[in-house]
Amino acid sequence: MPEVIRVSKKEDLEISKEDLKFLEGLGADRRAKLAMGTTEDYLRMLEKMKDLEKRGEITIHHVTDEYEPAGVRTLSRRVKKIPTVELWQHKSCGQCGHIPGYISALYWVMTELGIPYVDDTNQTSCTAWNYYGSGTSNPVALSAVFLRNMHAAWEKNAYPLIHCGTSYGDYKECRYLVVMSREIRDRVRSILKKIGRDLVIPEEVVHYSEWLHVMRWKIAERRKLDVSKVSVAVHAACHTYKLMAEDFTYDDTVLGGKKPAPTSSTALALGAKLLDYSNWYDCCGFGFRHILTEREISRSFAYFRKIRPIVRETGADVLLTHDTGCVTTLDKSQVVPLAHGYKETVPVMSDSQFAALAMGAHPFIVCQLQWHLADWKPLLAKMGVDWASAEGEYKAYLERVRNGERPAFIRSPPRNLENRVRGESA
Amino acid sequence: MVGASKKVARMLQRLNPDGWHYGGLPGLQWEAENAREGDRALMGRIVDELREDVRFEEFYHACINCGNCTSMCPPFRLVDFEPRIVVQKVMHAKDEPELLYQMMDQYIWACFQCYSCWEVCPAHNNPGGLVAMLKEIAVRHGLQSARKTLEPYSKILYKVMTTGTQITPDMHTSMALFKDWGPHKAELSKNIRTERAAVPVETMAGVMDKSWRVDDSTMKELMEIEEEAGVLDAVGGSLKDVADMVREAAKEME
Repeated sequence: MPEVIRVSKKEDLEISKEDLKFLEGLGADRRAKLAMGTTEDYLRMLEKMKDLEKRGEITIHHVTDEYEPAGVRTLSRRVKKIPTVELWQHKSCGQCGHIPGYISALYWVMTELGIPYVDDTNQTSCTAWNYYGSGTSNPVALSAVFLRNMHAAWEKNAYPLIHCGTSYGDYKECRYLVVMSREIRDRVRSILKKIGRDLVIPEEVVHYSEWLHVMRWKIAERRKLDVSKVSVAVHAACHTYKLMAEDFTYDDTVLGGKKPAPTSSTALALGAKLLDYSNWYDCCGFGFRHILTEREISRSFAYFRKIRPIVRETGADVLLTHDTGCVTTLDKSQVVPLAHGYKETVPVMSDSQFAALAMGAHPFIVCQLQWHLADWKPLLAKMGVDWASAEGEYKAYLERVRNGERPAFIRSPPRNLENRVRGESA
Repeated sequence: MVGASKKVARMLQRLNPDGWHYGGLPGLQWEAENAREGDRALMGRIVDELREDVRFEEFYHACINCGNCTSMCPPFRLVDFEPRIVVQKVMHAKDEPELLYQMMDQYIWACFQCYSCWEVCPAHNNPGGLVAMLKEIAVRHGLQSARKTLEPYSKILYKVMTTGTQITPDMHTSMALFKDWGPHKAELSKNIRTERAAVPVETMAGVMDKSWRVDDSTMKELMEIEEEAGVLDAVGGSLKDVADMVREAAKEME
């Protein structure tokens, strides 16, 4: 007797019981094989992580109430917990060297909001630059570096907040591999043991743009400048939402819930005009080794696939993004085309810099815009910032520092949590 | 035995002077030539290493040649590179290892590792992930392309491996690097030390040779991880000098 199964709203399929059983089995086998890149297997990984914790194999760094978490919807529709206080700043090896405003603006926003954080010198980058760029690392090394940094955060009793899109994507991949592969887990455990550390895996891997997303209304409350006339285009970093795609934040009230929410949501909350464009999905052109050794490819892609179409389609006043490589590539790649007579240009900065500017931060001392190439003066003028006086203030500040004055350091408000002692259980 | 030789000869004949026809890849004479001259035992080992890697099951499933990946691929728009070809060659690698080898010897280095391909593949293949694995294998075995690609990259490689940071302010002290960033860069270079000293973040202020101040013990741990995880041995396969220098740096830390 054949079974009738519904294959779509309008279509039923008559199929024998044996064939149905065969097909179901085939589907189950297939799903069991598919792992990274599917929602249900991602969720299965999170379940397995809990099992490993129960068996005492790993410690999970939970997003406990002390971190005052806020919930967001991810692509998988799972609610992800974003810690909002007591954050361990996982700095980016690309951003700190030549876009220092990316980080100083974020710290400034946190300080203004009274958010305690830790800026640690016991941190390395994820080293995934060497993995994606040149094939000079491997999953065991990357996972060990990931968990070394996570253990350092755990010791400080602060929750890791990842600044770099690539570190964020890489850490999600590494967490998946460590949880799902006993072989990798055992090798990493033995390496960590040699350096006096243990397997502490974060319950959530969190990107700073997700933190800005959940804090956006509080940030908006502190807004000092009117940005309602400022039009914003957003470039979402590939490694935030294409690597382990199911774990990034989406929000039904932002771009219809169809595109990543962070950064766009921050601009909207601040009252700026968010403009969509057709090739939003394209990467920035960074390409890892390309930006260093085959720059003409990065430059051409960045200008002709991103900057030019964005300016032509939207006429945006600023292009916001949330990754080191993207800010660098999209900003610096405008120099050569402009020298060749192309006209389209748009200033590029991180969402943290834009938020800080809107909250009244100094454009040069805090937001460090002097490191950015594409002309930001028209944007500042539109935001009502007297950039010429601010530049004068900055030059005077530089002179004072040159003469030995201590820089105007941004410091965390006092912490509520104390460091953990090594060996103490979580 | 004779049958096997004939089979190999037939396979190699497919690498005609215009490059390999499978999937339509023109103009890869250099790679084709290398594949002809390549060590067949090595080619076989490369395929085994790829398939035995724990990530293989995750990154490769099956390819129906739909081309979604290629349509989203950034380098495809500018250079001769298609993620579809990568997955197709991986799919046929067991029977025709020389075709995989041919691709590894230059082609894969065009990938941006943006993972647009992974997100759109209906079969959840991860071409970018496969490329990352193939690059690792190329470096480990010191393939000519890996050595050529990594050479201009060795300073960054060394910096990441020893300090755990990458782009550093001292790279801006001259115009040599990043000269296409124009006059602004030149202007910034003049004052770079004061500019850095005035950055209002304590871990970064005044630091020129790293992205931020990193503890010696942290760098030591990093280099220990690299040694234990086989990174230094792998890098030594292509850039022996860099691996030696990292080991020296680690020794100095003791």
